[in-house]
Amino acid sequence: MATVFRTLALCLLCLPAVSAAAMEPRTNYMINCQGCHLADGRGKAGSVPSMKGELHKFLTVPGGREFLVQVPGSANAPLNDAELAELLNWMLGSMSGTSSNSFSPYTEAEVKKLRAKVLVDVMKTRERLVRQFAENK
Amino acid sequence: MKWLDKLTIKSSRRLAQNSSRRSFITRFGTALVGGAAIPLLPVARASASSSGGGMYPGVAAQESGVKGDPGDPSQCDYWRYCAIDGFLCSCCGGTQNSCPPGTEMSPITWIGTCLNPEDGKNYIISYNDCCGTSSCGRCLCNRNERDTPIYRAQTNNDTNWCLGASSTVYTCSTAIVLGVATDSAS
Repeated sequence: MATVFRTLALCLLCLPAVSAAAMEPRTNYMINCQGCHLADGRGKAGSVPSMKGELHKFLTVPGGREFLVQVPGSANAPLNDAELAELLNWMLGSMSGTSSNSFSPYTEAEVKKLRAKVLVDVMKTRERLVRQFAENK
Repeated sequence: MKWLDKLTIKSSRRLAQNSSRRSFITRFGTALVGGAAIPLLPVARASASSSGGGMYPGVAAQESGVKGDPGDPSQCDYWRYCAIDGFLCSCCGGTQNSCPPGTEMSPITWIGTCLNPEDGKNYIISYNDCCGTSSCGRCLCNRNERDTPIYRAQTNNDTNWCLGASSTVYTCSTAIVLGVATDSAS
């Protein structure tokens, strides 16, 4: 019982600190992603791949859901697992051409698990996934 | 060696006959005071005032004209420049929001946040580089708040952010307000 109380007290202590520092997913997108991916996610042909109307396609192929967390821009972003999960859910809902309730949202635990595994060959993995979209058509 | 003796005698006698003992002190004193007075001459003052108190000679003081946007955009201490590294477009024929004529604004930028002293809020600032003509070279400003090393490239400001423009030649940097960095709590 004492442990439960201690945990509760700890949680209460950290709540205000976390909420004061936490940014809205849109703000996190602007600060950490928008510089290259641009405000609407369209990127720049040839150097920054477009996410606009495309991002949800990763959820339709095996390995794609993992890729969105493990791609260096996501995995290395200075965001904690909860913030990254929230950001990915926001991006999928607002710029990928899918409605926010048509996919099962990422959770903090899932992001934590996926993030722990480092993607070695990013370009090849991406190429393989994109090829699969084309085949699915 | 007689001629050297004669010359020495002649010239020292001439010197003694033509100058008083005090004249050296007089001339030396004039040179000292005159030298010190040169910066007070109108020429020197004109050159100093042409900078308008600004950070670069020939660039007059500016203001954004927008309420809640304090400071001088031609000065490095302007609040929006908290993370900038480059030449200020305000001193290069552009403004803090726009590129000088003949250059192109890079769409790919590096983004930071700066505290606006007027309202105490953090704003998201996009440091769009202007590209296409040779480096401006005026008003270098290097403040680097929250700048990260090159291995965190998305917030490293030593990168040439002209990579998205048609020319990769860097000219100067702008600081555009994208919005307020809102907390998820608010």
